[in-house]
Amino acid sequence: MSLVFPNEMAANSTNTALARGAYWFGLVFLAATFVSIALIADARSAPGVAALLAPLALIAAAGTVAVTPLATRTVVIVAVALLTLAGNTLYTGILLPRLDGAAPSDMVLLTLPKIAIVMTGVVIGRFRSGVASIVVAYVIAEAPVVVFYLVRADAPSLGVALTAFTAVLLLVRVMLIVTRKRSRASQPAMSRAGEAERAATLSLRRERDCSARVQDAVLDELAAVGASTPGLLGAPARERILSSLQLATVPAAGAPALDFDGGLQVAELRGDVAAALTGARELGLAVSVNGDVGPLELLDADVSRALGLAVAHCLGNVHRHSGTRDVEVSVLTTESEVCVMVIDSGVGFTESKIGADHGGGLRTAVRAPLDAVGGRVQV
Amino acid sequence: MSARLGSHTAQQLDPLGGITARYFAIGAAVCAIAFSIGMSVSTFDQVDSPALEIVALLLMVGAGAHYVRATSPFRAPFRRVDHVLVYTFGVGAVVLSAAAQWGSNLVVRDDWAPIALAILTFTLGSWRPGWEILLCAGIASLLVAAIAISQAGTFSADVPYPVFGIITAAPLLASAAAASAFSNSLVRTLLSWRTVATAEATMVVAGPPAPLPGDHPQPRHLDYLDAQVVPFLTGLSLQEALSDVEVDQARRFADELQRLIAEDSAQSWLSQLEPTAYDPLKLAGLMDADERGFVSALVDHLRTGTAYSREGLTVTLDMGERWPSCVVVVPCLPGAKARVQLAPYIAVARTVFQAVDWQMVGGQLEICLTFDVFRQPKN
Repeated sequence: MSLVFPNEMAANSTNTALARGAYWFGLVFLAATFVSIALIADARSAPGVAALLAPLALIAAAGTVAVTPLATRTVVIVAVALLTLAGNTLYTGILLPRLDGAAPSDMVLLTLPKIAIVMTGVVIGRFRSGVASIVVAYVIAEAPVVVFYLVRADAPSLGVALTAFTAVLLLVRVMLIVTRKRSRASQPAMSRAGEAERAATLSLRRERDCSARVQDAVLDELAAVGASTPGLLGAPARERILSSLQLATVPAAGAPALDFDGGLQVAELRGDVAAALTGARELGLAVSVNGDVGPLELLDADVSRALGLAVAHCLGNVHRHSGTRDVEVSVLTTESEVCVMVIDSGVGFTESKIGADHGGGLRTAVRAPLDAVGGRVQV
Repeated sequence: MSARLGSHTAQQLDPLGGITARYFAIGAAVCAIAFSIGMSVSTFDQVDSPALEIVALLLMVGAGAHYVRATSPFRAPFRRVDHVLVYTFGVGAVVLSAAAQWGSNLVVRDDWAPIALAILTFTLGSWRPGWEILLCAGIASLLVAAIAISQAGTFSADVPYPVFGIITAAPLLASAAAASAFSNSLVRTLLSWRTVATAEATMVVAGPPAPLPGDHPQPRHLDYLDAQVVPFLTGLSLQEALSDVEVDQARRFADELQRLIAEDSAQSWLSQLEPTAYDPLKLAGLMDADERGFVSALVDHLRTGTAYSREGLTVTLDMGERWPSCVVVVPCLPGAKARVQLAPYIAVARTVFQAVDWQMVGGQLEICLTFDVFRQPKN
């Protein structure tokens, strides 16, 4: 997963979110207007409330169409604009003669729908030029009022609240483009670093697997050849060399299911730990298994692989260094942990006292893989 | 609303988007405070208690100041308690400004406190979940409406009392609806992106091995294995005799391979990133891919950024009291805007690491990134 949200998606997602927010803002204002008008008309016994419902509903419907994916089409945008203009003209024409011009409070009932109309411009702006859409919406909101006053030969005046609100929206629109560019300048570098690290993690995992197999297979083989007497190299020895080469160079596949006889093993053991036990038996070790081995099958692939590598290396060390053939593998499980113990009665060692060259196996094949999957190792 | 949607915020999912949004939080705070002071001065003739009015203004200033402070990327994330504090101050301003004009308030539409709170609410969408914004604003709106209705006897407009409540509460409700819709839309988009990105990353892990990145060198022991050991053992597997030269060669290959394995295991990802890095406990291996990717991006930024001196850069991994931490120290160039350039990285770091602390002392920047080896869910 990338560290940060890509820049190329940020603009679109923000615009969509802004459009949805603007739609609900306008809808609440339209609802507030309608309820207020209904209450006033009821109190003043003024007829014609129903006449105001229709234009308000028309403005709300136009806004609803604007927020849907239909509004990507120019013909739909034009239809929305015309519907909104028609609704606003109707609303203004019905309401203005009924308002008391001396009571500025009444003009609130005009301002709220006009703000809702400008918000429809913000909604449309996510598909078209945001600035132009807001300006056109402002004109649609104010034009009917201005025309009404001109027809009455009164001096028209633009709504201060609406004009200020629209100016702020335009400023927000412009600021969004400028600030987003500045704030997100570091995103490409962070994303590249995250992707490079994920690729490196995959490579590291493969390298660890390979290193562990090198430890167990190839070093064993080189040691065997180095300890041999010069002379004939029999077929079994050559097959063993080939088998070690295959282990070291081919990615580990899932191990086959195996049956174990003897000991307290009652379940069929599968997977990476089973493969390690099989390998140990082929080396000539007498492996007895006890405990609750069932949960070993429930481990996820990474943990199972790391555990298998670690057990294989521990059994290899028993074979190489302990001086004994008998080894016990005990599995203990709790609700949250699986513990695998490799126990032998050989010569023993102290990890801190072995040199770096000889302790590399414990680091690379036991501690490192288990650390990587959140495990712990105790020697 | 789904539980997943209800617990996430846009800032947490897209920290760089939070930096963009902060410009608008600052703008909203400035507008709210300027509007409050301007309207308070212009309607001072309606104020009976100047002391209460001044305290109300101070509370609104406090709301704006805390809002700006809490949205800083250096203090991310904006928490619920910060949201509640902003609203507590804002509602306090509403109550006290109403009390300051009790009995002498003639016009409801020039009451500044509810509109100032609405201005702040409008920009909350990036910081808190949608349901929380609606809940806080819904409770505040009821209070605002109740205060307006209870003052209705003094208003000059002749409309039913509930209309005053609706007109006063509408801006706050509309802003909350807008911010909530914005938050839900953005969080939904970000969660979808994360789901897709995570699925793609999982497919990469499960699929065939990805090609190694160009700048990721293979460990030297694997190169030695491929170049020397595998050809040697392959040759042996085809022979029927073993010479004393080959026996000797096998011993030398084993010694050299063990030496290279030990050296490669001592190399950590961190020492490759920054040769002077100090990681005595090999803690770099406990970091996950996102944490390593971030440290890579941060070190690269500090090396190439215009505000920092590359020569003094140090990276240290060590155990803290409870958790391991990565401490990056770099000298800052005098007069350079180190804090501004650092902001996006601190914002992202807070979503990647368990804890992030930073300080600038004596011209030196120190960043402490604490990582959680047990992978607890991040804030």
